[in-house]
Amino acid sequence: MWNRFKTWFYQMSSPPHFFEKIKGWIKWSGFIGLTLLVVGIVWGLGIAPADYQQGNSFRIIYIHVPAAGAAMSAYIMLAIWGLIYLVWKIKMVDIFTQALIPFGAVLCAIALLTGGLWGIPTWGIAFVADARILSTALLLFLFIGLFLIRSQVQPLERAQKISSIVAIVGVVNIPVIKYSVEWVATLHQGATFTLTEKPKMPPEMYLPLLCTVLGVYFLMFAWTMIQARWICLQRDSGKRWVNQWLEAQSKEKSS
Amino acid sequence: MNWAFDSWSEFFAMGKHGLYVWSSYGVFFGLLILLVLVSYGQFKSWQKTELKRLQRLKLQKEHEQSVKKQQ
Repeated sequence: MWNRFKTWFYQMSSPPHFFEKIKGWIKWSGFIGLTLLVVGIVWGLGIAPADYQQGNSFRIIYIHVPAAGAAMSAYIMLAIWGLIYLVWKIKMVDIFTQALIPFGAVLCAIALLTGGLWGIPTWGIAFVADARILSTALLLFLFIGLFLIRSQVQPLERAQKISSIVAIVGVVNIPVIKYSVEWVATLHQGATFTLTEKPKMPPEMYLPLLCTVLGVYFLMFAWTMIQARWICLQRDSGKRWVNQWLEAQSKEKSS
Repeated sequence: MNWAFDSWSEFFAMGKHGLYVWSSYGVFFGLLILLVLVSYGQFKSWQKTELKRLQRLKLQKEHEQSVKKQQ
């Protein structure tokens, strides 16, 4: 078992092998993710009962929470991959990092914007200088910073090193976001899901949320792998397997 | 399980919160679709230039070989 895992791991760390083998995973997780997202959104928008305090504005939760949760998880992954890259210099890990950064940034922006839109009817103001909001804004700047480092710093090795270090250092922001609603007085409501307690919502409200949360995670995996495949091609450009792929693609198109 | 709204107009109105709810969902799908489109466009343009470069290289090689044969 261990040996089989080891061979799988070594094979997957070679870009041409990964490029072929990951296709099925992308298809399945993309399909599952889209299904869960659509089911969760229809359920959350049309079937879940309105909140007794917030009315229908609470339905924003079905995209706000998945986006915020996935953005934080994405950043934790970036930090872990950064550490792995600094220690073992595994090329594929760095490709994953580059693939995930833009998606994480977009999710974080969605979390902030939908939070603001939810804040207007609920708090009477879109953004306040609040611990949760400020730390999430910092997360967005970290994502943007990582993106800029990778697009501006030359050569690639330097960009990889700097972005790994920034990702690792910035991860202290994640517990700040997570516990900001418990440590300091804030307008933001507490967590809906925790591992240790029962959800503070009835099932007809939290089950659709569970669907969209899982859906966004599946889609994040699928999209990151799609991007990773493209980055594999671009980094290996000029190599034989890339040339073969390019020619096969152009033949497919013309036939 | 029942629908939470009695009619489509009530569904779109979302109580008094239609504006906030629908613009949130618009932001969510809008930004994600934008990311996918931009990334896809960038990749396709890379693929195009790379294929052109490849074909140019091939032509060059063929030309060099034919020159050698003539000599």
